[in-house]
Amino acid sequence: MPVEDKRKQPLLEVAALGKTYGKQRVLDAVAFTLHKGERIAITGPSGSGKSTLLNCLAGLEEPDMGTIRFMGQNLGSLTEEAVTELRRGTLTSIFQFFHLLPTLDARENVEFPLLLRKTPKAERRAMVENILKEVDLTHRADALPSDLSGGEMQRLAIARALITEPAMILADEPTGSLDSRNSKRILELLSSLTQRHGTALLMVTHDPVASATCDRILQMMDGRLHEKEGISRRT
Amino acid sequence: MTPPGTTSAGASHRISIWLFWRCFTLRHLRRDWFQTFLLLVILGLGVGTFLSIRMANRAAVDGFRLFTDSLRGTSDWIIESPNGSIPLVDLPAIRKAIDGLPVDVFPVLETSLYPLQSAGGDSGTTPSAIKLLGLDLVQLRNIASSGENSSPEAFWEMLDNPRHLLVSVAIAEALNIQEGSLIEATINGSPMTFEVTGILPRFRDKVPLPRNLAIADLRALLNRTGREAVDRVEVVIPPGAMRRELVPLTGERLASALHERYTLSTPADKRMDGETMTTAFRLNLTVLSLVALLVGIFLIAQTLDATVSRRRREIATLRSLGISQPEIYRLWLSEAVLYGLLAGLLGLLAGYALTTYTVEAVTTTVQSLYRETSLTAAKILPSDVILSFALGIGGSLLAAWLPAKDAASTPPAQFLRMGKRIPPFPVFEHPKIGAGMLIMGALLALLPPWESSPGVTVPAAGFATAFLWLTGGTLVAAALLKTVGYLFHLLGRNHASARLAGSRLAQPTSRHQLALAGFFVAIGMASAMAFLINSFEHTVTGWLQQRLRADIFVSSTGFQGADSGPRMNGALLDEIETIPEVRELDRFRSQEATVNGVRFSLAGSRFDLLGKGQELLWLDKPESVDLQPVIADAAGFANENFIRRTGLSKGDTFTIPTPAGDKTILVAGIHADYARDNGLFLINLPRFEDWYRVSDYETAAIFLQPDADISVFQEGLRKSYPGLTFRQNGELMEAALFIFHQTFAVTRALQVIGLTVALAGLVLSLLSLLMESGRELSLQRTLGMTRHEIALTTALEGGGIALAGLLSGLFLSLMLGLLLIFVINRQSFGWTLQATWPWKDSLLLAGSVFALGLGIAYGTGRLYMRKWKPDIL
Repeated sequence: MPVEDKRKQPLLEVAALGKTYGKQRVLDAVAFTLHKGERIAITGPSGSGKSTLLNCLAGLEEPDMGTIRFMGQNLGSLTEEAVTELRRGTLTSIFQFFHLLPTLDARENVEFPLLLRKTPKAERRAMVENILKEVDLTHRADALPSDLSGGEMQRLAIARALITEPAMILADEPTGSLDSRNSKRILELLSSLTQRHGTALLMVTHDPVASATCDRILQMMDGRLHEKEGISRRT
Repeated sequence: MTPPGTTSAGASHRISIWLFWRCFTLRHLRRDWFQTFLLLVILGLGVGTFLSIRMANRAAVDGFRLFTDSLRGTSDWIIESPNGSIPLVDLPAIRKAIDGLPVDVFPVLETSLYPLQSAGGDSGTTPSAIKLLGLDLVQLRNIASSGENSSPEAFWEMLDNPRHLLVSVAIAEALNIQEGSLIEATINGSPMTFEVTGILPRFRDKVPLPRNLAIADLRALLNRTGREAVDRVEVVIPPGAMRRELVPLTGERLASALHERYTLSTPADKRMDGETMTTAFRLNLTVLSLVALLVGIFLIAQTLDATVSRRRREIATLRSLGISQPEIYRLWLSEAVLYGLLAGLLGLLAGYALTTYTVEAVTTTVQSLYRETSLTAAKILPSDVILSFALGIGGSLLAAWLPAKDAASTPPAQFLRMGKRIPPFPVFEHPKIGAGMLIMGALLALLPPWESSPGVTVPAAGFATAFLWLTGGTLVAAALLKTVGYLFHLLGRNHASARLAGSRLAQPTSRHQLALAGFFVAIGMASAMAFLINSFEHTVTGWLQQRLRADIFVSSTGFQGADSGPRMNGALLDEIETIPEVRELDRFRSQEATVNGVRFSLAGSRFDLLGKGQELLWLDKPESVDLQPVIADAAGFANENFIRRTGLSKGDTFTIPTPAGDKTILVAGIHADYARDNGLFLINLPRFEDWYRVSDYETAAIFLQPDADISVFQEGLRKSYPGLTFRQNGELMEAALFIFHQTFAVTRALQVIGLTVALAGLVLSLLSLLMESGRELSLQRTLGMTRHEIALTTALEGGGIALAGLLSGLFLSLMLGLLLIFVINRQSFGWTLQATWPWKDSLLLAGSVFALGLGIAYGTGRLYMRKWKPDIL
């Protein structure tokens, strides 16, 4: 199937999503669709509900109302085990503060999702070496996260998110802790790798440079999501 | 409140601490209430255990006072005979010695009475003894300050009844008897019937009466037992202006008149005697009870460390608000004081609750090993309250020292960089220091003991060695945790949970290391005690097999092994000896004696049966079987405690006073004896009888004709002599081992407490690790780990700590066990023990602790994950 056709297929469909903490409505009738291989940026001020939305999409929090359909499946109707299984490979995450496992070295951090999927050892080893090469960290494979620079840590986090060939990556401020030089490198890496692997990307960011690398930009304000007109580049 | 800026520095600090407690500490305590509760329980249990042993020790020593003390106050002088009894015909001479002085003289007959309805002769257990005092009740009534409740008629009526008996409330309740009830009982093996004519009050002049006390009139009791002697005479000087002068004057007159035949002492001497005799036993118990406290302190350190870690951002904020590093340090210590106050209160309650058990256990041991003592209820003194809070606060402060330093010194910037773990305390990174302490401890173990009083040695250097090994070993064990981590990591290469847990153990936090330290100490001490007890049991069993060669052993019902316990009337043994089935009958009788200022037991036993049925376990055999020495009045065999305490050796002679005059004895050989730790010297029975003119015996051994049926004969004896206990070889072995196990009951209880505290510490440690890993858990969930996998990681982490604790703890126990067997035990009690490692117990302990550790860790992880809410990553 041609790439353009593939992209037309909806990967994620969010409809009328609502979430309340106490009396505060954090998500209010959030709705959008993300297609396979598509990259969407969500921007908005702090406290507007971006992180809660990401947690709901990752299946870590349950919305109070609305539906999330991922690859045709309603997340709300899946068991906890099934949602966990999705996170093991199909739906992975990248964070502002990298969140690597501090006691595992770089190679092990990347390998960890494959261990959870019980991938055979030989295959696992080859995949790890390949992805480390792709993010240019082969020389740092034995280093602990605490010995890596911010840019290296985020490259490692990207490698970990991509190693299972996921359908979608949720990225929360992936350049938020990096300087402009490293930010640029990470954004280029994310773009090239998601394109190469055909992975969709949903990126929450404050950084206009980061959002500019995406196909569409959605604006979050007081729990509501609006499409920024004239910004959408590829749809 | 004083406005800021106008207060002194001290007032300012007080306000800061209060504000800190109110705004932070108390809120955190409330929020993490379960962890706080667990923490206080652990420290409280540690303080409580120490306190209960202290109170039980005190109660046991209190029990050494005379039973008569509680009836009419403490005596001023006690007159006793070297052979244990003062003939009635000598009483006028005693009275005459203090003629003209306004003092009261009380002859006392002290014996034990065993109710037959509770006497389980076949069960192998010993029924509770009733201490029966024969006193001049008319005299007692005359001087009693509170007077009797009964009418004079009833009192004289009671004295007319030869079977009368007054019993304590506790006895009446235990035997379910009341006034008018009849009690079938035995005294010195002879059956008798008593009629309860009154119940003694619980208190007399606010002094509690011993629980196992019964009284009868002296004259009636002498008549019934057929005795013509009393056990001692007590002299009381009534209060008044002359008392100060009268006490020494009476003492001088008595000493000069009686020194040839009788000894003169004071109740304080007696009590001191008991205290000295049990010093080593009580000290060992106290040191052991410190284990729970020590493990508790490790756990508090661990929790406070976790609290620092969780509240690091809060500390950073406080620092940014202008609170200095020293102030943070002080505030953190003040929080430890709060914990200490609460734990001290809890420890006081726990200590009192535990004392009910420990008093009985300690008293039983003292009774079996040393001398008869009354079961005295434990009392909480103001010093206990102070000690409880001091231990609680001191322990907390000690535990908070490192975490407080950590809290004050960690730069806030450290936390801006994510993905970096908090390094453990630097002290845990130096196993070489630990190894140095182990070596220093080993050198200290070579030093001789400290002699606290004549014949009493305390293994001070041995205790210092144990302390150095415990602390140094903790540092070495920390290195082992990393090894276990690498092992898990290696073995679990293909398993996510194993690899994660292994990596966490290989790079442990201070929480991991403190939990391991708690485990290390608890396992090490518990297993070392098991090693000691097993070696003891093995040695004692071998000794008993050597000693118990006779067909039947006889003792008075209720005899427990103490020298002052109930004896058998010699006439009964004479009767038994004439039965045709009896080939030989040996009798054993002991008597307290003193040499070089050291009290020991001199005992008589038939030497002509040695090698012909009666055997001793020789440590240094006599050169010749000819035991008729030229240089002394008698030759005999010392046990090793005697040698250690008196400093004498084989070939030496010593002289002791006896009713037959001063006698010189030759030490002809040395044998092992595990029945007493205060020294035993055996001489030939005929000589002993000749010197001491005794007519009662503690035990006897019967050798039957080859064709006699032992069981039938035993049954016949039981029917004919209901006041005596007849046991066959195996039964006596069983009974001896029963007493042995009872002796170590407190030790075993302390082992269980230590292990429980260590396991509770593991839960606390894992909870702390889970609570501070909120973000890491969220990450693991985001990466696709199930709750089960996270709980499994926690289980493996806990299992790793337990495994490292077990391995290092078992090694420590081997070292400590050898120290206990060959240094501390030998220097305290002088027993040679054969070291025997308890393989079965150790495997069981290791297996159950590891399984429990894994199970508890998995449960903790599972329970925590059930309530876990994701953090924002």
